[in-house]
Parts: sequence; structure tokens; C-alpha cells
Amino acid sequence: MSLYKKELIFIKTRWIVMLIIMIGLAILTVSIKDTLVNLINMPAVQEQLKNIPKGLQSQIQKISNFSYYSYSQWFDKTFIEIAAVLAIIFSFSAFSKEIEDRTIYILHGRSTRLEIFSAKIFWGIIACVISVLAGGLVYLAVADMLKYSLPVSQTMIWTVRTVFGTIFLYSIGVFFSLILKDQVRAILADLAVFVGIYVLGIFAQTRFLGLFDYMGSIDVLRGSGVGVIQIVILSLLSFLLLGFTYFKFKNMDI
Amino acid sequence: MEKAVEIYKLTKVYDNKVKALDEISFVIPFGSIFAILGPNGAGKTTTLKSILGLIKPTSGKVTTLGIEPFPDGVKGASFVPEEKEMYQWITVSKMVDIFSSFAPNFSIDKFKKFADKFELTMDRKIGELSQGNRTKLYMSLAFSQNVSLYVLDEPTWGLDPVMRKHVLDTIREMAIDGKTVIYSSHILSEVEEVCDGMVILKSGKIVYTGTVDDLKDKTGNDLSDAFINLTKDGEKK
Repeated sequence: MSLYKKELIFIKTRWIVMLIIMIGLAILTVSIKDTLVNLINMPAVQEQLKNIPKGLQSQIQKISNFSYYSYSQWFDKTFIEIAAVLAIIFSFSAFSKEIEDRTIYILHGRSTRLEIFSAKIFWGIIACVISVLAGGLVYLAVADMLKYSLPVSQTMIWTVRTVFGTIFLYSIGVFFSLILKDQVRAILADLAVFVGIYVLGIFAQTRFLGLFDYMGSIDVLRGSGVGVIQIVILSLLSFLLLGFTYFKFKNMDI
Repeated sequence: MEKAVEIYKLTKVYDNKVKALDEISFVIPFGSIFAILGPNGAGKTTTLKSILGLIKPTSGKVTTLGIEPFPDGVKGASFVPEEKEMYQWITVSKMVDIFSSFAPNFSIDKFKKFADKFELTMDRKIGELSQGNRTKLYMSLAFSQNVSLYVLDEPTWGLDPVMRKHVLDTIREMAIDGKTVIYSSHILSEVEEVCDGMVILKSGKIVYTGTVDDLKDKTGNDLSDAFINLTKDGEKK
């Protein structure tokens, strides 16, 4: 177990907190569905809605459909936002904190660079995957308990897409954590890149690069599948980015 | 003479173009206590890091315990860096638990003996320890690894005279057990007391290599005067 035990101890608290936030918000989002729909259906609110653009009006009216509600309020919103936060939380300090605090000397020499890198990446990826799976599956379970109709396939597609998207975002975070050797700069770089990815998803010409658009896509409601090609590309990019980060780590002065 | 460390024409130029070491060569025999001395910025820490494979040589060759230490380090070595930094938010006992899970040949029994000797409090958080106590903890962890080579960067910094004596005694015992100890220090009386051999660096170059007695014989001075003469600006020996 060696370094894996150490890394688990170090990531444990953050992981538990993020799991609680993810699960708590999943439960909350399902639970407030009826309240939100009732609020929208109030005569006063309906009157106000007449003053907003038609497109937005029809979107709000569709919220009574649970699949659409799940898409718009969870899978394309809070769920992927937390997924991005997870990627940052589990990655930004992976190397930067050890280098900044000079605790890297405790590890190096007593473990190879590959062992240090593997242990850190292993728990970071596991924490991201389990937290995202928890968010998707708890949402589905609570929806089922409250007798809402939500196809399992839709939930699984959004969840699987978000798992692979989060691993890619995590890989970006690990890269910055090592290269910048500074926790604050690593977070800022992550945020800048994530905002950039979000912006790419806005424009028609660059939408195919909009990762968040893929993770919480409305196409799933129209019967779109998980997107095998996109998953292969995301996996490959994550692998290459982590491989490059390891190469840099292997050759860097500590 | 078996060599624990062999350095041949080692040069290190950092990314910021600072030349920290300039073609230095020396050998450290097995079972010796060897000091690396020099004024601030002379290249002592860079030399120690090169021996451990923490930094990549720009040119030249380092062999530590028969292997090239970069990039994966030397598992048969235990290192105490200049900054004795550990994970601030965990307790001493948790630190021992974590350290023992990945440090090769770590002996809990040995650690307990050091903890008693150094009067360490196991249930305190590391962040609450004084610099001296942090040094004692780091030394105890490093000494509790049964390895062939101990590399100590300023090991007695921040310690009171009693604890300093404990550390020096331990270093001597290690050498008697056949271990090799390399350390850097600013305290020349310590070096005089325990070292078999030494190298003195100035601006990344070796200005002396040999024994303490040889240096004193050659210069006719005490060690402090000899050190000052060798390392003062504008002079080379």
C-alpha cells in the first residue's frame, strides 16, 4: 500500500466533504421540483413570464417534465459545476502543495517518482469518479423514491459523460499543479481554462470543443447516446496529459 | 576503498542560468562521516541533492551506492533536508504511521528509542512543534530507517547543546555500524569533532578536499581560520 495509504489519508477529508455536497445537492434538487413547478404555475408568476422572451418562456414551462427538469436543473447545471469543482479540489494541491511546503523531500528517495505520481493520480481519479457517480446515482434513486419518471438510460448517459469529462478536467488541474508549483496560481489557471472551455461551448463554430456542452447535453433528451468517439477522445487526451505531466515530473529538479 | 558516492566533473546550471556547481569531483568512502562545507550559496545543498537524485546534473556523473540517482533517488539512503518541513496538521504519531508505510526499512522500535532520547511528544500536531522539535522529529524518522547512507543538511540547526550532542553521538554510532553519513553544516567545531573527510566549496567549486587534520597541518591554523582563508573573496587555494 505504501504511498497509497498516505495519499488516501490526505484526500479523505476533502473527498467526504465533496461527497456530502454532491449528494446533498442531488437530494435537494429532486426534492424541490414540485415546489419550483408550483411557484412557476402561480398566476402572478405566469403573468410575469409573459414579459420574457418566448424561447425562455417555453423552457420554463417545460420544467414540469421531470426529464427536462433533471437536465436543466441538475445534469446541465449543478452536477457539472460540482464536477468541475471536484476536478479543481482534488488536483490543485497534488504537487504544488508538496513542492511549496517542501514536504516532497519526505517522499522522494523513499519512493520512486513513478510511485509518487501514481499514488497521487490514483486517488484523485478515484475520488472524482466516485463523487460524480454518487451525484448521478443518488439523484436517480431519490427521483425513483419520490415517484418521478426519469429513464435510467438518460441518467447513466449524463453521468458517464460527466465522469470522463471530470477526469479530463482533473488531468488539466494536475498539469497546472506540477508546472506552476503554486496552489493559488494552479487554481487560477484551472479556472481560466475551464471558463475558456465553457466559452467555446457557446459559439456554434467551436461548440464541438465545449466539454461542458457535451457533459450536460440536451441531446440526451432527444435520444442521443453516450458518444463513444467523444469518450475515446477524452480518455486519450487525459492519458496524454497525465503522461506528459509525469514526463515533466520525472525530469524536473526538486 | 569502496565508494559510497562518486562525483565526477559534476556541473549544475539551474533554469535561471545560475551555475551552482562547476565540474566538481570527489569520492566518499563507505562507512565514513563526510562533511560538505562552504559559505552560503557555495553549492552545498545542490551537491547533496545531486547525490540523492533530486536534481538533474547539467553535465558530469554522480554515482550513489552504485547507481545513478537521478531521477528515482536512492532507496538505500535517508535524507534530512535543510528545511525540516512536514505535514503541519497531523500529529507526530500519525506522521510516524504514514512515514513507516512508505519509508524502506523503517523500524518503529528504533523510532521509539529516538523519540525517548529526543523527548518527542507523540500526540502533538506537527504545526505546534518548535523548529528544534521539528528537527528532532525529522532526525528521528530518518535515523530509524536502516539504510546504508544518511544525507543530512544542517542536521543540528536549532537544537540545544544537549540534543546536538545526541545527534553527533548517533552519527558516530552509525559510522561504527558501517553506515555512511554525509552532512553539511555551518558549525565547524562539529565537523572537527566527527568528520573523517570533507570537501569545502566556494562559488560552486572545490577549494579543499581531504581530512580535517590534513587541512590544519597544511595551513597551520585552526579549522575556522583555515575555512575563512579558503572561502574569503579574492583568494583561492
